[in-house]
Amino acid sequence: MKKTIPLIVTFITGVIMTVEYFSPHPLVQHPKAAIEKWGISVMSAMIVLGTLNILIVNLPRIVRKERDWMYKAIMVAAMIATAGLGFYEQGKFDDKGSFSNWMFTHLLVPLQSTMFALLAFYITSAAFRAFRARSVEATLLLAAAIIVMLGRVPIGELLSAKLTGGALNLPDLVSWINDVPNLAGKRAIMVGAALGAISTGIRVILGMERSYLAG
Amino acid sequence: MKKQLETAGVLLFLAAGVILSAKPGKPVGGETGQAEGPARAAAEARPVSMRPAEVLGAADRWNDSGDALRLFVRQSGDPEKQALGVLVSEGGGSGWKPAAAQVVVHRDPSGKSTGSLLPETAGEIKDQITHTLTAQIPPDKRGVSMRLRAVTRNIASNGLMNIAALALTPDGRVAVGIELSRDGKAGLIPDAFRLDASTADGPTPLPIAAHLVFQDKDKAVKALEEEKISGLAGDVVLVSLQAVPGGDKPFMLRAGFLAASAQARDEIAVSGPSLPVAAEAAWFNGLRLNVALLLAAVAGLIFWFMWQAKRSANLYVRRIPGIDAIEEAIGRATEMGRPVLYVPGILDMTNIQTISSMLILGKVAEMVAEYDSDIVAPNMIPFVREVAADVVKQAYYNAGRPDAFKPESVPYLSQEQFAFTAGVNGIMLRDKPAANIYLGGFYAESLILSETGFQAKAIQVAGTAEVTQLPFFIAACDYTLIGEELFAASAYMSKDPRMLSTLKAADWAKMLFIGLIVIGSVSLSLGMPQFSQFFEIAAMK
Amino acid sequence: MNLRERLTHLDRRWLFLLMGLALLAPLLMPLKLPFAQDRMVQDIYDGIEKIPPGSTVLVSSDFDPASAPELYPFSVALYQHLFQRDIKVVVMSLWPAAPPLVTKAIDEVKKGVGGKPGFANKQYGTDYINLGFRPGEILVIKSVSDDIRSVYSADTQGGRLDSYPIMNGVNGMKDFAAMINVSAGYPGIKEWVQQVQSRYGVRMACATTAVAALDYIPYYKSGQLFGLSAGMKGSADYEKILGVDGKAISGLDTQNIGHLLIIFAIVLGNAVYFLGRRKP
Repeated sequence: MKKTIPLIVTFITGVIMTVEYFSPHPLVQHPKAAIEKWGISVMSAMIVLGTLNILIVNLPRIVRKERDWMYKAIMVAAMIATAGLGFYEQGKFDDKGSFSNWMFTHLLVPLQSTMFALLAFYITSAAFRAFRARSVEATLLLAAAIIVMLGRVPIGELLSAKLTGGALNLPDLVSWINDVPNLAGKRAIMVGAALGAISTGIRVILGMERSYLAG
Repeated sequence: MKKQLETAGVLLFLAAGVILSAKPGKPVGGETGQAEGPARAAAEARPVSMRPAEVLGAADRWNDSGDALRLFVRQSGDPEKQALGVLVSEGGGSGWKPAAAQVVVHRDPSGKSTGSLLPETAGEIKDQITHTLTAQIPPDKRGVSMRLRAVTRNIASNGLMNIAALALTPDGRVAVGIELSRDGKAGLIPDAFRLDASTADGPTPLPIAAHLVFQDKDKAVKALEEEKISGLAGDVVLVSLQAVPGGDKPFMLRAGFLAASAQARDEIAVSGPSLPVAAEAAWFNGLRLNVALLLAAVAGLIFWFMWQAKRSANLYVRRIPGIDAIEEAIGRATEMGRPVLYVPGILDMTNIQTISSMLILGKVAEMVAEYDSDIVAPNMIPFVREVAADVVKQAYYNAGRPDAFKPESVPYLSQEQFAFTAGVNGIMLRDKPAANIYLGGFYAESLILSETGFQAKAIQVAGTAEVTQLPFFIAACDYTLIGEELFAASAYMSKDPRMLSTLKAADWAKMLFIGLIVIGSVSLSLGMPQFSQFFEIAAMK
Repeated sequence: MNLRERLTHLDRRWLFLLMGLALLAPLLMPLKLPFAQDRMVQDIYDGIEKIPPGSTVLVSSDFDPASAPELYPFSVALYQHLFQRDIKVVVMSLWPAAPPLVTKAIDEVKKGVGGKPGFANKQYGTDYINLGFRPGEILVIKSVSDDIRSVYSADTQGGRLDSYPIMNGVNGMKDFAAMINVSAGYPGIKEWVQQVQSRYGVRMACATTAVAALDYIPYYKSGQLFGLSAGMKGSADYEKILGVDGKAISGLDTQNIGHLLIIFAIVLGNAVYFLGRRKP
């Protein structure tokens, strides 16, 4: 019973959401709209569970002073402070004078930018150790990567114009690489993924895949 | 010819259809045209409801008598049920005529008059009802240059109806408008006629010549789609109307052209009201027939192979090294006595990649439980965390070790992308998992995670259908599941023949698509666009 | 330990240091290399030039601080251009962290950016308005297009929309002369094009990150977008067209050197690889 009902719900929902694309009839569209609304409500309510989970997982560890408990304490304190201030200031985080806005500008912006900027460093180290001409395919990939990287910045444009006397325009070559071989590969992956998604969808709707159901 | 067309004033109109008649009844309001033939009787006899209809083509020049242009519409289904039509009238080379057109409702089962259709649609018409509206052009408005060209295929959606009005305005000074009335009295001007009149710049006309925005106060219909269609010899504005469900009272339509000078209400010509029209919901959106057929083909293949798998257990499925690597990685983590890290991506449960990731998580967690190892599965979306916790719990139960499940092994970290990334990196550096598995939808964090994992010397397996992130995973991880392999993984790991059969079906579906692509390319190259046109997805909702 | 072994066991932090220096140097000593104009960005400019002064444009600012280096300069240049043309601007956001960036960009433009005079005369609520963030992703897009007030009863200041002159007669997508989406991902360009452009035929242009731009070029090619700006290069192009000496132009130097360093890392990595292969 505990598994049958969820399987029936999955089946009915899956069928409605599939048929919905093809049938504009209100008898199909209305249930679909209702299911969408329920979905949004459930998802929004989940944030409460998430917050509780953070507290349940971290508070005992902080109390027991487990390894790295200080990081967890900082996280929990930051979470409570941010939420508390948000409630206190009634969400006016666009107001320049507000403390929420101060936190946004002076904490969130630099933190996010820092994390994103890490990419530049990681790309360098990944380029150094992973991008190797091990095979013909890898060499092609390598050459294409270098051309695209050069073609995307002014210096590549300058170099290609100077070195070939204007015969080769690197940005044009880059466009070709992007529009032709790259797009072809991308579409192939997308078609494959879409078919995979359909067969996964059918397996779930038919209840063949049920590992997501806890007994 | 061109000059003649340019100087010709044209008036076009738009119609309201006619169709399926379920209940007998009187039409509401006055019909200004003269109708002939049996169709007229049918149309008059009852309120007319509309169903999706397909505009097949329009004359691209007026006929010799110079008084009407017809547009033909075919309605799918019962030939007894009528379609809608659009007619136009013009003054030839002699300027605007004061009373331009007469309404004709006639039925022509023999396909007469198809000579004026666009060539590619000519001859396809079996059943046609044209419905013309009267229009008046005040003498002082004569001389506005406007051309009607053609229309394209269009259809109702959300059940209701769909009307196309079109105008080609080389000088960009004219708008086309449609108005409606509940009682058939003329003169109801819709709330909003707006002109985005852009003037033509040189030889190429600017994109939208006239732009209609239409809104009805009592919500009988609303303008839904406005679509610009190029390539017919200029730009055409196509307006679709959608009737709001539940309006059981029929309404009628008028159409008119407005001058662009525009405080907007400067009418050049307005038609008389159409026959009453009521909306009826359709069960199937014919414009999506192509998608339905393809989906049916793919689903058919899947069911066929499932059936095959039931009959004989002998099913060969090619090896997928990336998925085998997941099992190896878990084994190695067990040997080293370190946990397995499983990141299910950063997308919500509504995304199929996350669903697929949850299915794989079940298998991975079961293996981990059997080996008596540990798993950490941090989440970015609270909803996903709840599902993941259940999945892992069930896996431990399946492995016969329900007591070993620890809820804190499936933590929620943060809904903020980079806070989550930092959290996962922290787990990698502090807990030193020996195997990192990233399966699901990933964005900018892909490389940050996988490079940190590399630094922590873990075996890494990634899989995503996000094409832009694949290169990063491929560069930094030991194995990467590309697109479809992510979706294949749970079936592949289950080793259940019925599940494996769906993989085989997907491979055959790929063959089908390759075949279609080849046929499409060849037929397009041979100048036969019909095949590929059939597979065009209609943009309309 | 010979050179090859040293390189094979190179501590990657040396590369990080090198990258750090490479990125820092151009910020301290700008090179300002000349670059060719991207057609797609020129089209954004031309498209906006065609909008009559006094019209209202909707901007959906859908990015956060992480992608701000690429997209914030574009926003600044965009508001500069719109104000220059005397076009009214209504800004909304589908991303929670975006509204403060909008306020910051507009304030910057009002004060004057990159050698341009400011627009001290532009009034909040009359010439521009920041509606702020609403959760709901695609649902917000759909609802805003039909009826803005169904989603936004108030702006970021908490005032009712009807109390602002700029919102007078502005109800839905049909009341905007154009829609411009500055987007770093989901929800963003794809959703706007699918839900709004194809339904309302509204004139639409977009700016996005360099890595995502490839996905949207088909929309530009099909004419659904009248212009598309890709990453920092796109922002720099826009600044250049407007004659603004902005952050993206100097940022491009950083990209120049950054790309060169990555290419150097690839070459170095391969050199190590081939040296290693030669030895038995």
